[in-house]
Amino acid sequence: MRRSSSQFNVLLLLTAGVCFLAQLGMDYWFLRRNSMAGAGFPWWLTFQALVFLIFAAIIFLLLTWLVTRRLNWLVEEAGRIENGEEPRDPLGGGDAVSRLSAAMRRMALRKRDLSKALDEHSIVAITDKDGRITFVNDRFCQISGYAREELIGKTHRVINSGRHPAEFFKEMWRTISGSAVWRGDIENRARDGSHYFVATTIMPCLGLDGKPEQYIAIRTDITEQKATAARLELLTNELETKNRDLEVLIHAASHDLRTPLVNVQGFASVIREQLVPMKELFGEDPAETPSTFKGAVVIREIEESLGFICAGAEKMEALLKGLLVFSRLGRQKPELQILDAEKIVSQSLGASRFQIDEAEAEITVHSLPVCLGDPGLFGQIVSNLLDNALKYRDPARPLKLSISGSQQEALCVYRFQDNGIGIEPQHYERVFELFHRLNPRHSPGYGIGLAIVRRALDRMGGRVTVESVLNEGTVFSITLSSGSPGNGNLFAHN
Amino acid sequence: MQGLPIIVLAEDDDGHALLIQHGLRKAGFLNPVVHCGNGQEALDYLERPEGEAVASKVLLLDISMPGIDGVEVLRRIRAERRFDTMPVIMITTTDDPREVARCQALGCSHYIVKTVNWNLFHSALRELERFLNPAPFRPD
Repeated sequence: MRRSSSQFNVLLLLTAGVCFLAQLGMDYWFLRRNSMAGAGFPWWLTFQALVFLIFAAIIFLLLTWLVTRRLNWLVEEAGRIENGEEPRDPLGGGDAVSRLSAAMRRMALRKRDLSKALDEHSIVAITDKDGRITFVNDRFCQISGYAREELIGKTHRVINSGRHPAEFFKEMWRTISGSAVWRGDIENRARDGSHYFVATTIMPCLGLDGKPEQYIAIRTDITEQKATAARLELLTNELETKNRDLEVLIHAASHDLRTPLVNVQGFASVIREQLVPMKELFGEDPAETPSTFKGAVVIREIEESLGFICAGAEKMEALLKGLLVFSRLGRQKPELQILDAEKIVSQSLGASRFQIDEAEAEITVHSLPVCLGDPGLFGQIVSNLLDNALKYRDPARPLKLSISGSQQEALCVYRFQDNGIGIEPQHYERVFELFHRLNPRHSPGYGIGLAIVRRALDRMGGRVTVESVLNEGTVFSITLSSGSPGNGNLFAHN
Repeated sequence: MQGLPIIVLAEDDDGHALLIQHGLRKAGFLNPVVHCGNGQEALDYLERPEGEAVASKVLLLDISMPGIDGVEVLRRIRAERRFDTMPVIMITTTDDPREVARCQALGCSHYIVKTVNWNLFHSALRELERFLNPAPFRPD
């Protein structure tokens, strides 16, 4: 209601003024016509005209004052907002000017909030079109270590670290003076000489002619990230070096270490061959003469020593081979596909047929589900678990090994259950360690097989667990993805 | 023993060379053996004028040798047309499948791993009969 009454007042005043002026004009025209007809021009009419004129002037001035007073307020308010001062309460009255003042206040508050939010997060600077700093926020001062007064009017050369070539900044200026936004990481130098990194976006503010009038630079401190990235790169390089060393080591193991072994074993065999004619020379019966007796003893000792030499060389070769397999597992990228587990198991059994028959082992293979895996790695797992069962069978009873499998939605679990010597619970985890053997003196293994099993499963995102009862048997369970659609890999379940 | 191919053995380890020759004799191969201590020597021998009757030679190549290694020798030999018919047999300690595949891609005729197990090595050498004794051969 206030707004409409104020408008009505102005309208009333205007209408009154117009009526007065209209009457004055009509009176003047009427009397002038009379006087031309012969009557005189009365003095009171001039006086009346004068009073009307003064009255009209007062109304006009009053109206002008009313309007300009409020407009001046707006102009003043705009200036305050531009200077970043707090906006005042809007004008009352409910007319257009008061609505304008309210809108200005809202805009000012929104701008204030936006820049506050920006200041909270970013390092902000504004420069004129020549790059002289006209504004910096607190964060800028904080990170650079300079006071605001030291920066205003200067260019960013104050914080130039000298780490970027001139071409870097030339390119930046080319971009922003061409009215495009520039983004990049800059290394700057603070007042205390320390360097800091900022991810920077510079936006040109275009004037009416489409040319930049000033530039707003918004930066984020990425010193920490840069340091982390540098550390990461260092570590990556180190890792690469170590991997190369490992490659060299593997090559040494596969070739250089085997070369002398071939000689050891080869020449031991040559000596053993030479023993055959010597045996004939000294005779098989050691009791014949003292000299043949001595010869036969020497031959027997040589034979025995050769046995140790050959066994040692063969053992060493087996170790080297195991190491090679183990390291290759880590280097080759697994090719996951749907695997016919039954086929792979029967192939592995076929390859070990001789050892299985020799051990008089009874192996039962139940129906096995398909799974998602790498055929080579899966074959390694099966043959090593089979090997493990054969090696650690209980000498008191023939080996019984049962291989079964089941699918539980996204996962496949294969169980290798034997009736071997078993493992004590405190060793469950250690059996999968490389070169770890539970009973080094009496076991024929090298501590590689189960390490290969676990590594192969790691490579395919699977896992292996063991349960065992000492002197009764062991169950190895391997879990792999079943490859059914809609499930992720096993890492999600770990 | 006329007509048996000459075995050119490129092997830097003298012990291995001896063992290979011993193994070959044991397997019943009576071919003459020329031992070259490295890849360059083997290439030089094959390049000699009297070495032109290439059909009568079989090259046994170790891979890891100082200077020109076995793979490089294989590459150079397979690049020359006149050696096309000469069997080249890699005989090495490495059983890395990638190395085997590399040599096969370069055109080696056969690949023998020098196993530490003497018996395995001997049976591997016996497989060379088709190269070393093209005519039917019976050991006494």
